[in-house]
Order: sequence, then C-alpha cells, then structure tokens
Amino acid sequence: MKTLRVLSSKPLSDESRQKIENLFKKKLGEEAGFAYEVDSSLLGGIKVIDGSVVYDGSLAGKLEQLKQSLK
Amino acid sequence: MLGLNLFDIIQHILLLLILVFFMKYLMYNPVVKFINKRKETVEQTVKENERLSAEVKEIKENSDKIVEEARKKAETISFEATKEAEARSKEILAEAKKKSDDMIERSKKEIENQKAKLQAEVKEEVGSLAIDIASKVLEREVSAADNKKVIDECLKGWDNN
Repeated sequence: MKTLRVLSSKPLSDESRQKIENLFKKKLGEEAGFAYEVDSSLLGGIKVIDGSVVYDGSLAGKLEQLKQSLK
Repeated sequence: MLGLNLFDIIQHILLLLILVFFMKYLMYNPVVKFINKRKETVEQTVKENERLSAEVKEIKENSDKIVEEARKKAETISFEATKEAEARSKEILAEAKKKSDDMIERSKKEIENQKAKLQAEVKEEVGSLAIDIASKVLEREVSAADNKKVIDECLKGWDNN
C-alpha cells in the first residue's frame, strides 16, 4: 500500500483530513496511507505528493504560477 | 650731182641686208626665243600657282569640315556625359535615400523591440514584487477559516479533474 505525503501550512482538522483521504482513495482506486506534515512556506492550502506526482493546491504554488506567467 | 653711185647704194643695201640677216638670227630670234621661253615659264608658274591655290582651298575646306565634325562630336560626347552623370547622380541619391530609410526603419524596430523588452522586464519586476509582497501579507494574514476555504476549493477542483 502506497503512502501519500500531505503538506499543509497549518495542522489540518480531522474534517479536512477525511475529505483529503476520501478524495485520493477515489482517485487512486485503492487504499493508501497518508503522512501529514506542516510546512509554513506553503502559506495556505495543501500539497499532496504521490511518488513523482505532485498535487499543488498551496497558496505559494499559486503565487509561483502567477510569477511564471508574468515572464 | 649728189656723189652717189649705184655701186655704193647696192653695197649699202647688201650690207643692210646682211645686217638685218645677222640681226634676225643672232639677236632677234634668240631674244624672241628667250622671251617665249620666259613666257612659257611664267604661264607654267601661274598654272602651278592656280593648282596649288585650288589644292590649298580644298585642304582648307576639308580641314574646316573635320574641325566641324570634331566640334559636333565633342558636343555630343559632352551632352551624353552630362546626361549620364545626372542619371548616376540620381541613382546615387536614390540609393542613399533608400539606405537612410532602411536605417531609420531598423532603428525604429530596434527601439520598439527595446521598448517591448523593457516593458516586459518592468512588468515582470513589478509582478514579482507584488507577489513577494502578497507572500509576506499571506504569511501573516491567512486565518484558519481562510485556509479551510482554500483547501476545500482545491479539493473540489481536484475532484472535478
């Protein structure tokens, strides 16, 4: 069973964790483990890492995208 | 009586005839011959002079003709040369104008490119600065409720993909 890393800027509530786990189980179509970490550099939102695939929903990621679009 | 006798008269007449004979053959004929020869020479000289005059006249006429032809040719050459010089001058001016126009056009394009590049750089700098400021603000200002809202929206988006 694979383990997904979930990063957030602040510790997540149980409700949020449940939503995340339900979503990714549905996406992967299998059971998976989740490892939660706090990373204040995200500023807000979450980032989920599944091996080489990264799902970036963080505010820092959005700001970076915005920065790149201005180049 | 006069003292003349026939013998003296005849003698005198004979002497006269002899004198006339000698005068004719020794003096008159050579003189006439000389005069005729001289006349002939003079006539020849006159004819030669006339011939030479005619020749000189012809040469002069030919010479005048040649000079006139040369003058006309020189005029034509000068006219042609002037025309050619004018045409070449126009050509050079047109070429210079075209080069100048091309340079101006290239300069304008260069200026436009530099302007666009500068604008893009400024836009990037300003954008980058704005984002950095936004990052600093978000570091301080994102509440738990806002954060939850962001997470929920994010999850909704991933669910739809």
